[in-house]
Amino acid sequence: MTKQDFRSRDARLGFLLVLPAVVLVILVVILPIISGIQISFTSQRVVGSEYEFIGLKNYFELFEDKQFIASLGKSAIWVLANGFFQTLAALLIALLINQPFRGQNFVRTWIILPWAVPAAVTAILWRWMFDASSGIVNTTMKGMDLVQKPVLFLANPDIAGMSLTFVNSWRYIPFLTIIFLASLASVPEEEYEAAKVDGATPWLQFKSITFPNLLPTLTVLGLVGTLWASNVFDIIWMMTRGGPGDATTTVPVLMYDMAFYGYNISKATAGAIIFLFILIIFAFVFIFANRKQFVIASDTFQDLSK
Amino acid sequence: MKLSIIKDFRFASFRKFGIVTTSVLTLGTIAQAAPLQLTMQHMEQPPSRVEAMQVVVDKFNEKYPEYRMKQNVVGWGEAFTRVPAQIEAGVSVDLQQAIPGFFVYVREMGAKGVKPATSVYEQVAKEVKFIDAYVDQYRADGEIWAIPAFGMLELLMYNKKHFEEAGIPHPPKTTEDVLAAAKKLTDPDNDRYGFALPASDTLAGTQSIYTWMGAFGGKKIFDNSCKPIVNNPQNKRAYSFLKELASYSPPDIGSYAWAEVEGSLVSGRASMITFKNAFMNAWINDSGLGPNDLGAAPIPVPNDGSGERFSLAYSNAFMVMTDDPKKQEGLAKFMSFWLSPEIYGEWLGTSEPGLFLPVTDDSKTNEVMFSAPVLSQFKDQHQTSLDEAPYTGMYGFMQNNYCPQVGQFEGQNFTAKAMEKMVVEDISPDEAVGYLEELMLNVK
Amino acid sequence: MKLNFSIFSLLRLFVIIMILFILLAPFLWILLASFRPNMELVRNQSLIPNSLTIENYVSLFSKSGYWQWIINSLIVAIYTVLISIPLIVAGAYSVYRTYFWGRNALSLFLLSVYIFPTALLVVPIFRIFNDLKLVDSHLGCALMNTAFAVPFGIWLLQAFLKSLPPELEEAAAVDGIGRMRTLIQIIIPQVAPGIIAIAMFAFIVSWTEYLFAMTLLLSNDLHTLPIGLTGIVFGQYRVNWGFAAAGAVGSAIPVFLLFLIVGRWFIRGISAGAIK
Repeated sequence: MTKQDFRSRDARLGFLLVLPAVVLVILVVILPIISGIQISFTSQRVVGSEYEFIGLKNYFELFEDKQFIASLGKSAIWVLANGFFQTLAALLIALLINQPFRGQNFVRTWIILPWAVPAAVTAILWRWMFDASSGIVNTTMKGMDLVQKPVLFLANPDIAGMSLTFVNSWRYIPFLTIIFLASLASVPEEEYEAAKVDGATPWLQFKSITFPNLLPTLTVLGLVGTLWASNVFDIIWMMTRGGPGDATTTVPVLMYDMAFYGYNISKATAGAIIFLFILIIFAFVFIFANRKQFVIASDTFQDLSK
Repeated sequence: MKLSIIKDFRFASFRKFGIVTTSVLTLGTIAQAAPLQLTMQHMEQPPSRVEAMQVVVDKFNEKYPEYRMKQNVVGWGEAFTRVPAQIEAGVSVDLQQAIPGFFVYVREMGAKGVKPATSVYEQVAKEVKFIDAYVDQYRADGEIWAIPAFGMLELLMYNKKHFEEAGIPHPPKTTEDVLAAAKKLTDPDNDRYGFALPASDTLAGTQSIYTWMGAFGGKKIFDNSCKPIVNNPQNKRAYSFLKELASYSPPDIGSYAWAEVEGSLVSGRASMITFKNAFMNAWINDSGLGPNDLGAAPIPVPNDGSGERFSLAYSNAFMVMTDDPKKQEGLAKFMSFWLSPEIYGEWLGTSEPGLFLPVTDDSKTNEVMFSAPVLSQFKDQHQTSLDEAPYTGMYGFMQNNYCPQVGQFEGQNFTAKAMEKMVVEDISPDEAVGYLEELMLNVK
Repeated sequence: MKLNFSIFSLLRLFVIIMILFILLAPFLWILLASFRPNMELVRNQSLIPNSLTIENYVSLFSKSGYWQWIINSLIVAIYTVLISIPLIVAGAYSVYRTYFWGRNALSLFLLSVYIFPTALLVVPIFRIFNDLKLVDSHLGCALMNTAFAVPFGIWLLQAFLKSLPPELEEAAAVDGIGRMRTLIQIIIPQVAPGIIAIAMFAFIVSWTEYLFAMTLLLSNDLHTLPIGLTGIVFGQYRVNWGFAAAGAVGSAIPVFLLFLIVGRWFIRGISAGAIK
């Protein structure tokens, strides 16, 4: 078998194997996005209503729309807050429960529970627990004399965003913890042993062994997590619907409201497309900046064909 | 092709396959025409309501074997996406529940969506006597667009015990009475509030606030050419009243939706709410009080006579989504059957006692309804709802037509947004009303 | 037994307990609330219950469609897992262990799924699925979930594939075994623990999915647990808190049981990359 032969056969097989996944993604992601782009150039008010082609008018309108610009800012804060809080908390938990201790398996099993509850149930229960006069959080804090007046978790515009970040994190931290546990497990034990022999402090061990080994995971989570957080809609919609005022109106919330309750689906879709482009640009920049972490599969596999 | 083969392996399909085989066999022996399939879709998602609806559907299918009615349920939250998607994809149901705002939304889709229902309505109206106010919300362009099925309206719901303990005569008749009582009953240190007014960007907020606007004489929000006219003295008074009322409400009313409003009355935390008489079961089970301790009064009016006896009423109706005359005939039969006194009375009494009001004027229906187990304990309160039905209205639906802006007015909760702004940013009632008009003017 | 307590390990235990408390205390509260009568919860939320009841669970299990929803959710989840696994294994093998031009870009393209503004594009999705006759079918829902499980699943599996030495394929190639056979007979058994891990992931993605299930499943008897629970919990006006709490527990129980059974392999699975 010649080298060329092997390579092309390998390439064909590789391509065929990944094809079904690609087709599925095109079907459920790319096609709807194309249909969305088409709608964004029209004047359609409601799904299925009559419309005309109006070019880029929706886009121009949006760039002058203060509410839309504000929602971009809110989305940025939302993503940063969630990303920071969740990653840090999950990493900490993973580091703590990674080392063997009594009940380790018990903890690793129980920790996933918040992730397994449907969003609507999570939303309604937290709304209840955050209630100013009867919610358990406030009654407990009052009982412990931590606060004099109840904290208005969802009704105070300055706090609502933090409350939502907390609830959303509460949902996703278990999942991230498990991902971190997985990549912690892949750190070779010998490296730690060698470091211990050298008398390295736990901090130094973390800095020189754990962290570099976690970097690829952190990078991918940085990308995927940002995208996930950007599109979070259900928890916000069901807990505050973007309120009070516009305090928690991120882009998806504003666009959903505009599309289905503001009778302007074409403009809302245009907003979603703008947001999509921002995310795509972010993704490109992020991938380029971290391209070392994204280079997949070691070169050894190319050697096969030599 | 491949996908459809896989799809046939669904468990449900095995069942359907079974049904098909048996019906084919039956057809072979009796040689009878297959029943005409009809589908209704509604948004009354709680299980007790689905169950009560199924009772009606089953009885209908039994009485009219030539039809086979089926119910679909969709949550109100998803209705705005799923119903248009179904219409777009050409898999619309035959009968679709609407409230006026939702009808306006679906009607935007034009002829492929909702069909004129005048002829179906006329067939049903031969059998039952409709209350006009409920029909009027679906009149537009000389047609009737939906068949009313049940109504709901706002009352002042209150805790009689609180009033009696504080020595306040009840029911409050004027808005001044409401404020005085609310002030007296408020004691934040003991977590007691005179009122629970949802000052939030929710439908709960919209409905409560608009009801009070109407009581102050501001029910008309558009002039005859659909220009917003909310920036008027009546509404300024209404918002000033609401602002004071908000100060006698729990501190986090800015995030209250239905559940929190109702919960605060049932738990005894608040003494009054503007609400539908819709929580009899909760009152019996959770309040620790008896049916007689629940007060239900018409919405109070200002004592100088400047307002009017008024409540916001929703006509829940069913839109006809099919052109097929045969199906339309079946739908007319179904609606007539559902609204016939025995069936309707039982359904009204059991589905969600107190919430659903008859859209027909029929003493027999009411008799059956009032004898339902839970409802029979709340006769007085429920009678108050029935008595208020003639004094109701619906924003933007008052002149045998509607203004197209009502969709956004309701969907984006303009009245509630203005209220929220007034409470959270502490602006004056005049400014709030100005803001409300601005929101309405911005609608294209 | 050797006693080697150090201040550090005690401190660590304390921090673990604190974090677990913050994370799981709400769940414990929900668990406790699910055993309390609604009346008590509506009137005053205190930590210590006055009375306990199983009424909430009786209504969940016998008066709601709980079992039907569980079965439907299981069907969708099993479909999702069954479709996802081959796609993930094939995709991951292709991207990480074969060589063709553009595989790097393809793997990133797959991650583009998560850019998707789901809430806004349900209508085009409905249209496409309707054209494919996949509306009102569990399979349609499962395909949707699969699309969202596959890209991250491929990435999850990467650690396992990377840990395998290239000699595996080289040896097979020398023996004249085709790559497809190598994948099925040699590689897959090696990454079995990883496959369990991605199966769990796909399962939970499907288990909690609401938006597409609500849009695509028209008939009531096909509804999944999140749809059913949302309908009950968000009763139009009233929320029965005790019942909502029971619903939350009821939706987590199956996942918890699953974790109890396969969790050991799952955890061993995600740790397995390290063995090599």
